[in-house]
Amino acid sequence: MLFNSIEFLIFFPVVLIIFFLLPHRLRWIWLLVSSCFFFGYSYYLYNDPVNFPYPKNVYWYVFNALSIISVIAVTYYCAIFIEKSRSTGSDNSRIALALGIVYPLLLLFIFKYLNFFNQTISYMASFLNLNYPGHILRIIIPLGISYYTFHIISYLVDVYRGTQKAERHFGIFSLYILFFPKVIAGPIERAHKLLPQFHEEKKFDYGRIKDGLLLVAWGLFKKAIIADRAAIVANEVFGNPHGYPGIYLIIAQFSFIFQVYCDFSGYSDMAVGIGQIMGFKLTDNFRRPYLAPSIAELWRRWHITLISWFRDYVYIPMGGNRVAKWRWQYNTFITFILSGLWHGANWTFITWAGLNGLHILISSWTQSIREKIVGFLGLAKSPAFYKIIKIVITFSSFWFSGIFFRANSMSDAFYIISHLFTGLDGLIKTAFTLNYEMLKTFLVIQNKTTFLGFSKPGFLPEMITLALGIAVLGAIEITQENSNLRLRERIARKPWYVKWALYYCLLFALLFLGVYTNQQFIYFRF
Amino acid sequence: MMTKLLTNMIISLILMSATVAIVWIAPGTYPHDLAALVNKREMLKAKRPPRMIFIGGSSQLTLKSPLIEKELGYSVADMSLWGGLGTREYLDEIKPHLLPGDVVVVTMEYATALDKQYIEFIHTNEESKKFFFLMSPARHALEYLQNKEYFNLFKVIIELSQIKVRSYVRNLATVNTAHLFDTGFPNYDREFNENGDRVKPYMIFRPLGDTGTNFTYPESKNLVFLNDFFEFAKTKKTRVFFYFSHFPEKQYKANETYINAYYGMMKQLLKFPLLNKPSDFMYPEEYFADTIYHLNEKGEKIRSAEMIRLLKKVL
Repeated sequence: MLFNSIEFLIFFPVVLIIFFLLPHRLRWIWLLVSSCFFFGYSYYLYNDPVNFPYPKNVYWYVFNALSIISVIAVTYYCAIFIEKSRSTGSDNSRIALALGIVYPLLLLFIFKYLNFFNQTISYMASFLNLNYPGHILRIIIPLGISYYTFHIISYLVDVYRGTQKAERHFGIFSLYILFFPKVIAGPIERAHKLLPQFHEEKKFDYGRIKDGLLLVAWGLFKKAIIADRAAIVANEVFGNPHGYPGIYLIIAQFSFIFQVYCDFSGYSDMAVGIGQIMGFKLTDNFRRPYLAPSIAELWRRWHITLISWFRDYVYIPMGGNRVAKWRWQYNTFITFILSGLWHGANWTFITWAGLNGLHILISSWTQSIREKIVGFLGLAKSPAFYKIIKIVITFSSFWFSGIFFRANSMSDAFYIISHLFTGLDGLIKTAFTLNYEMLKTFLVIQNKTTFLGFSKPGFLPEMITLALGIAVLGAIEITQENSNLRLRERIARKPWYVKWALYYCLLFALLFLGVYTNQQFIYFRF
Repeated sequence: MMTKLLTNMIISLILMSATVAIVWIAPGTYPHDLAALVNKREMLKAKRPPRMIFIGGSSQLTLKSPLIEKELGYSVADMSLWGGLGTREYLDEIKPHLLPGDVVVVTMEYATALDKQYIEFIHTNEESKKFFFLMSPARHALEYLQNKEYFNLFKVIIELSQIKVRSYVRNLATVNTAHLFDTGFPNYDREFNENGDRVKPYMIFRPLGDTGTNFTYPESKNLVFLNDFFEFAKTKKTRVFFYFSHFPEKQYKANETYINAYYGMMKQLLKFPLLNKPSDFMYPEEYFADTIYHLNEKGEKIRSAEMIRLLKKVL
């Protein structure tokens, strides 16, 4: 069930009203039931009943349901066992920790990575002239598996480290894993932050609910006005990159880079807002990443809960930066490669993450040279201008690596990169002549009834709306970046008529300018 | 606090409903090819009787209507737009506008009679339904209400309003304020003449596009609506004719069995005159532009002249 669907528009108010009507002691049951329904219904919708018809899909439903139930049960008991073993000073806690981690990771491997590894071995075997029957299994991946696996690992490790108490209430623990605002695509919440919130009584608070509703509306703005509109262009061009000259490949990659950000940060805003309406504080997942002045900083602002997870449970245990330089470089690169692999079992994701890791390493290697150049050019004297240059360079690097993230295959990615500038010289020369008819010969895509995925008359209004949406997003993010105040706090301080005018504009934009074709959120598939 | 929240939500709902109503009533264009239906409806209403009304798909868009007007003495309204709209649905739309003495000339592209998948697509196409709604909103709204399709009615109104608002956005962003409150399709006057013919010839592409040619034998249930329309037209003292559309020789020969079956069925079924037989409008590929449906300038001249000759015989 998507947050921007009619189903959710019915589901959520029903859940919310009953939640506040129930006494506190029964609320967890209601939330757990609602979350199970949400999860099951989303699973049904996501897994395309046409391609997996009855009875095949029923077996998968049962298998997937059993897998998540067993993972919750194993983790629950392992955590209690670890805690008890620790208190008695027994070494068995390590075994329980290993079991609790290996079991969900094994399931994750089977569901998500088995085909990938099988295929890779098959390619390698054929390269070495060996016979390896690399059968591809038709698997239905449990929805949100990458997310709940990470929830579980961090919970067990924290219990093992003694920073988190093992939850004794099985229902509440299940709710921690299945809580519907975050079960499918995060945020990846740490147990110490979310678990205690299920025990606290939530009061009906107008200010908090209004704040949450605004956050949901803003998330929907990003999703419906920017992401789903940009997706039309990106899907069209990346679906057939060979049919488009360089300028459209560039436009499509720009579209994608805004699509992926607005899609996921929009989803995260909606998740946080939905949690907030009910009284739960979930973690913000994005903090204006495209305004980051370095790639390392961009990654501290992008998918914050995932990156901080990798920092705390992979990078720091490997030694972090408190090791020899070569080892730090190794740790950084491996962490990025693992984050790429988390995104998907595909070389495109691994390359994308690897390029970002490489950028961080290159930044480190070239730091002294860059400082000299900055000094020579006198850029340090105008810090604002210097910051803009750094932001542009960081964004460009992320834009470039994003080609691998979006391309359907490695060969498509290489094709796109090698054709980014095809036909651009003629286009630029013609643009200076102001010869419209000649310019058209560079821009017209022959034998197509649509233009970049839109109908021909619809193209211009849609692209203008997209550009306006991005401009509004940019203006808001730049304002936020330059002041410590959150936008909602700034709005709250305005007179009532200004507030209502802003609310009206937001609602107007959502109603009339949104694209509501029920596009899946990109991060659902991870 | 609960009351405050509910009050604010109700105020927002009222504000948005009022905005939808204002957007719906306000004049504005719809940047969508099918919005030309609105302009064509206005053109039809403005034509002095007796009128010759051409109903068909894009294959008939390049008709030389001024020539037909001159030769036959009727005011011509070329209502053609897109075969995918559906002839049955289109004929229903023009029923309220028929006047005594009018002549309706109907053609159907072969795909709309012989390709089952395409026929299915036509009758379930939500885009067409949406723009037919724009042609006669009151009638369609009543249908939705009678069928208790309240959500679908809401959806159509919102979707059409969205298209209109995006057109306002475009016109404001490009400072095209002179055309801010035009109606129907933006730049209709540049793309169509006063008779509804397409002004620009289709571009020439090879090989010809040939979607919708998975032909099978025709089914009479898909064609009886033509007689229903004829019966209605009789009550309005309007004459109806049918002609078989043009088709390239190669595709004609490849599908001759089905096309002949279609011709045979129409001869038996129709209660009103057929103007031609399919082979009369079988043309070499050089007469076609980009698809097997669209004629180029040369082909159109020949087809229009032939049309005048055929009509002269029956009028």
